[in-house]
Amino acid sequence: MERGIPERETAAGHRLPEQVVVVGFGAAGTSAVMALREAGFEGSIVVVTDGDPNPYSPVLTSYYVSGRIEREHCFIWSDLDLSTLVDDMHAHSGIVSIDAGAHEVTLVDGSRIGYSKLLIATGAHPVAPGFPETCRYCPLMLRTMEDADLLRRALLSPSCKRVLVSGTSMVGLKALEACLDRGVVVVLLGRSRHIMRSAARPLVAKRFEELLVERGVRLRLAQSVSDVDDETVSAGCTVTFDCGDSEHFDEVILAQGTKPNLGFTCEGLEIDQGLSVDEFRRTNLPDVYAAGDVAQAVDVGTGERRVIGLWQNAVQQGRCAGRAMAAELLDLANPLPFPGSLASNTIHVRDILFASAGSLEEGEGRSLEMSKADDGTMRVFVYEGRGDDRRLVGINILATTSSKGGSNLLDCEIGKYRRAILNACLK
Amino acid sequence: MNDMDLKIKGKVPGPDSGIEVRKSLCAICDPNTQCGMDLYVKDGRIIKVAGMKEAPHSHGSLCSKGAALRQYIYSPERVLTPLRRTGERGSGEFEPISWDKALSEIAEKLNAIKDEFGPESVMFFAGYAKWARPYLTRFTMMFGSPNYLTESSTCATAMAMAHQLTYGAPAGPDLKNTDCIMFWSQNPSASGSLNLLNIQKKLDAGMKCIVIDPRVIDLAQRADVYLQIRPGTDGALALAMGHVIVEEGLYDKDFVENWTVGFNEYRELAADMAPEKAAVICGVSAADIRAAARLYATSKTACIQFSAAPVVHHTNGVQNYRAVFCLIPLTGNLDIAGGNRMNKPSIVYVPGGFPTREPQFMCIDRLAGMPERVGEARFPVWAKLTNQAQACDIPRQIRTGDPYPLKAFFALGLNYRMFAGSQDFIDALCELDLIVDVDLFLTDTAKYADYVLPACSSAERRELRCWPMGYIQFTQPAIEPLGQSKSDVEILAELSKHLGLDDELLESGMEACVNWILEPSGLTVEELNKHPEGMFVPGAKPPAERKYLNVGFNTPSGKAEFVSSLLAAVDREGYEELPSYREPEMSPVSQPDLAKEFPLILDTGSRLPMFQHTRMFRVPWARSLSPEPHADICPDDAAAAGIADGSWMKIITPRGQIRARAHLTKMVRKGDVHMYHDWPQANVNDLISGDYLDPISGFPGYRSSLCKIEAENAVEGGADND
Amino acid sequence: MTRKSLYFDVQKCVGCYACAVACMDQNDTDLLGGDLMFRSVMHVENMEAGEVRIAHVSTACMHCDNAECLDACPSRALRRDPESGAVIVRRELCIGCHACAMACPFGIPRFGGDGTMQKCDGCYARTRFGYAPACADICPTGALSYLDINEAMAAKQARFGASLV
Repeated sequence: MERGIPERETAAGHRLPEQVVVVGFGAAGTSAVMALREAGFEGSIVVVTDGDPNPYSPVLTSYYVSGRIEREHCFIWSDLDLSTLVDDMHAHSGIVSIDAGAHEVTLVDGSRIGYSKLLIATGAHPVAPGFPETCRYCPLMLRTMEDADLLRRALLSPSCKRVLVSGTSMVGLKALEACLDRGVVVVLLGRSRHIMRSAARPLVAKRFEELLVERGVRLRLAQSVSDVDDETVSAGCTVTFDCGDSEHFDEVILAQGTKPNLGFTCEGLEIDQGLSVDEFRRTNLPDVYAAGDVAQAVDVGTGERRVIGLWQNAVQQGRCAGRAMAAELLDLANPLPFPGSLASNTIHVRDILFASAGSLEEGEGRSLEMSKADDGTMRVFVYEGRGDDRRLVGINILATTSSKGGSNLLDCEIGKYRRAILNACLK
Repeated sequence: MNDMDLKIKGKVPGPDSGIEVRKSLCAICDPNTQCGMDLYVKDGRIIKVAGMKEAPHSHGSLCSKGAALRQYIYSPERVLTPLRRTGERGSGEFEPISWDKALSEIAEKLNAIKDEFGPESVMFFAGYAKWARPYLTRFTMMFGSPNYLTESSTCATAMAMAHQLTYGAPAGPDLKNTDCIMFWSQNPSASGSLNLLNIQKKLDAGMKCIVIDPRVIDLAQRADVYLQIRPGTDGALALAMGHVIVEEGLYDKDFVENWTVGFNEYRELAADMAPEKAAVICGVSAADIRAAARLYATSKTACIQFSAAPVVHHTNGVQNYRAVFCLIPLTGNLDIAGGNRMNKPSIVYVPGGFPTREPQFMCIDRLAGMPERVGEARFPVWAKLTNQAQACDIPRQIRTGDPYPLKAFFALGLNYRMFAGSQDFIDALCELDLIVDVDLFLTDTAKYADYVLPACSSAERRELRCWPMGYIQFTQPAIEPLGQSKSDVEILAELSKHLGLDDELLESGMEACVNWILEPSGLTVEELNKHPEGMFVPGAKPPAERKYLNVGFNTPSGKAEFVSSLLAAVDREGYEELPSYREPEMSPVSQPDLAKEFPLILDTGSRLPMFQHTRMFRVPWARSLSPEPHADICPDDAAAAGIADGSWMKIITPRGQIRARAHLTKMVRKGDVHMYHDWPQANVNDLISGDYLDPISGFPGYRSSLCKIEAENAVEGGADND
Repeated sequence: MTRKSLYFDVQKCVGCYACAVACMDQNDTDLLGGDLMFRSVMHVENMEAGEVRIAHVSTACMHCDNAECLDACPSRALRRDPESGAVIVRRELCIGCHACAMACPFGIPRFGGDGTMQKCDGCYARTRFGYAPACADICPTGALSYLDINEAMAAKQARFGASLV
């Protein structure tokens, strides 16, 4: 099946095809589609997605798993009827290749679609390093709605009593919270000495770990899986750790990071950790854009280009790409560039609230300040430079919402700190 | 959300949302500054308050106190039935009883005391709100007691006395017409803030402004001259200004010659207070004193915005304000447009530009045949100038029985912590045979009462009020009274019946009384009922200028008195006939030895915008804005004592100590401690002796005594009721 | 239709807190139940040429044109009201992740007793029907006002003009 490309007439009287294809319909894809329409693009928009035509927010899946929200609550755009913005929706599909020269994508079913602009917003998928692929026991993940359905079902099963969560960053901790909410025993496994290796200073992480232990979590830090035995057990698996211990778990949840979804071929497309793009989300190939977890962005804290998998980034990158495509298609003034992202996050596990922003590494010319308030709230400030030139480059705050005023003080502060860091970085 | 849900969420009135706007007023603060109010009512409950646009004084605005009125009305701490004490006085143990039983028992006891000890042994006290005062005055007179007292024993009256002694009657500033205004210790940001818009407009239009205040108030920043004086030295400053005005010939020679007495004596007194001398006393520069004097005296018209309490809350308060008010006749700014003008009150202290029979209604003439009032011998000029007893003398008379025993106390609201030496005050009251308190809440004071009668709020009753622009409002109840609570006037009328006072007018109810009071104005309840939002009184007119040309001044000499005949008639210390300057009794200058141990000036009673004394303490919306007792101190004094901003500190006087949080601010002078008053767990008034009083007015010297501060490590605050 | 907005004039604010309380009254803010106030009034002191300068600032959500909180919210609990332009929070959709707090440079998002975010909604349910937001409606000095954008600009320019004379 081949779809004709509608045409538009330029000022010079040329007739040009006008069709935007958006591959992926998560935060970045939906934001791009909305931005295109808001900018006045009235041509055809084709969406190709491996998911449902009604997109969901992956951030909400852990809340669904834990029972805090209903499943339909994850489909956060349901009220908008995004389909009215899209001319052609290819759900439960995907692309296998891009022919940048011919301005054409090939779908999994072999059909080809032409584009005048193409946005790759395919997102990322979890990886499972260290877990034997040959294993019959299939570990659980937390990314897609299908992952969440499986995980929820597993945690609801009366036989599920002990769970190993492997991975100590955001997704691992949110999976852990879901386990706590569901009343199962949780062991948290991390390869580093402390949780949240990149986001938390060791002392803050240590306090976070203590708070987790107080809430019934067992920790296995600085350990990894050396063997998984699913043969001799009737259900679940027995995990042997590199320290020599073995434990049986009814379920194992892997949350050890993600990789961009790049399961298509495209000659000449520049790929680093993710797709390389400029400040308007343009790849090295003409008329091919990328946004969200599949693409790199400038980490304004370090100046490096890397994938920063955050909801807000995906939304803003998608919007930037949508506006940039619309600007070129409609001869509009240059849209605002996407300046890059600052690594920042809030992680809420039960009553524990952790916030981090910026760069937290020690190094030449850097200094640290730490404080602990009466209510237990911890703050770490990372500075670069000395005297008048000293600028804030990173923060950690750890509080509990049960502490008197702790979390609300934190709420009032963190955005200001993040903005201070961002302003200092962009200067 | 559909439109209907949105309207209910937005509290948008209309037949569809079922939300009705009822016109009312706010009775939290003083009648002079109260605002018109829209009460949004749905299903018999107030769901929102807003300023009433029709109100000519408040033009649709409210302050934070009025804005919190809903939580005040619906406070879970409201007393909803009459209560009879079952435990010890102060324990707060009561049992509910019926109205009929409560009033019968109270009447029986009051009549028994009256029979045995005479009606004068029963005191009748009015706290806030002030609206029911004419009724309580009448009630007291009908009962036959001379002892009608109010919280005005420490507020406003002394200021009025300073006016009266100088030119016969209070003369308010004519902001609207003036070219220059001198704010003498009044902070419109925290008190009477609804006047701010008028002030700002005038300033924008070029009005000159002088601010005299120990604290850098907002208005100080817009002032042409700002004088940050040491608390309690107002008299010295005013005399120095008089000095400049006389020396430079800037006074109104014609007015002084024809309409004043004692100018030569005054000139001599002022000659002795050169700006250089006052500069040392007051802690300001002589050049600024000269600049202020010249600006005030040379402006075409100039007025003085005085305050009810700050200047007269010193042991030299009346004389200090007299010195200030002498500047008005000195410059001829008396009773002219743009100056300070006299205006007769129409209803509850407020002049409305129309005549009423309120003075006759109060039956004050009955005082003539009665025994002397509490405090009359101790404060003879007070007794001459007011019709009230001086409540600060109550503990003395209870304890000594001199000149006669006191046996019972009936209050429409009382906060014992408003008195200096508060604990002594309540301890003395506890020696009485009977205490009755009418209040909305079971306050700490009410806990000492034998009977507590539940009053309702302004939203649940009718109230008559007028405003100076000739506006009058007789409110309708917006909601039913909560529980069994009643209007104060209704309580008085029913008690009158139980006592057998045979006061036909009062007992026939408030509307009959209002008709009687308003008779000379031509207004009737029937007419007022047609205008729930209030109305302009037909024929009301602003006061004439220079009324003295026809009737003179209401002083013994008929003129403005630099030398006061009334003070001259009393041969006592502090009653100097001229407004000569004395140091506050406890100041670093008057008591240098004591000041070695207590080097700082303790100044209490400044207002915070969200409170009217304690009235909003129990209202979370107001309380959250200032949850704990605190004092303003300057960063230098804090540093010297090792006190960090926000930390707990001790404020210590020779009488005791309290704990308060330190608020470090550059608004205050080095050497001053401004402690906010009335905190139950940090009652600064108890650090001041009940005898630390102005000898003329009997007002406590709240605004200047001596203290020291010490750092204290953080611990949680104490119990917290009032 | 010209859009009206809330304006704050620091020159006129005296820190009376009427706006903060009116906001609580309008929103039935239950402080004892864990609700938090949306509007705060700050007292600011600076030294200027040896003299203390006092200012008061009343702040609540600015309803930014480029509101980062809108982008940060992963549950679309934050929306822009198309009619008033106000950024509003649908608390029933909030998961309490605090991402908006991280995104807001003004420290506006607060989390109440139930863990969901609460903040000023610009009184959109009042402005929809022609009523001013509660804070502007009550302000005794006109420091907070609800004005047509052109009116506000004219007022600003008049002040600027006056400062030149």
